[in-house]
Amino acid sequence: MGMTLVVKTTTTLVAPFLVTYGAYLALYGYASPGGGFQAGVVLAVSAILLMTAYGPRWVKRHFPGGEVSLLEGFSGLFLTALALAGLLFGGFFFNFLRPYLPGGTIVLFNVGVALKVAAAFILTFYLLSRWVDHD
Amino acid sequence: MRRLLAILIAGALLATLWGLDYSKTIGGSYTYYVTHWKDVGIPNLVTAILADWRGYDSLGEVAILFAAATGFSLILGGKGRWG
Repeated sequence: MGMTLVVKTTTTLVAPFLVTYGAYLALYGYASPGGGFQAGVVLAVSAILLMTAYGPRWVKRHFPGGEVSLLEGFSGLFLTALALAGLLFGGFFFNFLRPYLPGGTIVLFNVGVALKVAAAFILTFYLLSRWVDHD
Repeated sequence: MRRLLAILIAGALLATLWGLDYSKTIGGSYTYYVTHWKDVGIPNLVTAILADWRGYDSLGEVAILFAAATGFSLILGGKGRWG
């Protein structure tokens, strides 16, 4: 099911590059324009593109909703733990990794935010796609 | 009646926002950010402010997204299945 062969082929070609771009934005966002939220949205768009081209059922079989919701919960927990870990070193959100990593905790925080945002958007689209009657 | 009340509240809000002082103040956090942003060790002023000094802002953003996804799954989710 889904759209025509042209759309499917183009989407299959574009989606891996979108994932790469999202990872780049999350990992290098501390030094360049970018950051967690944008990276998460780009990651989510690659899954949403596949949903529009192949139909929601195909994507749900490859990325099950239970695992996506697990990813969302654990990345939220990770972000809160990272914020609270700064409390041990001096203050809420204290950047305790700054001497060891370029950017310190900001890189980890960006990666966590990216995973969280991507999972939340994909879950929202999963739930909304139930009302799409043709697959 | 309800519409009148809404117009009154919106008008009061607009008047409040209109009367605020939008002129730039020298000193305070602005000067601190501009003089101390090299301490963060990030070659980007915007990221230094947003991700380091105001990281809790992103945490609130993430909490809002979590609440949105939870609300979606509560209202539209049904019984345990994602299909």
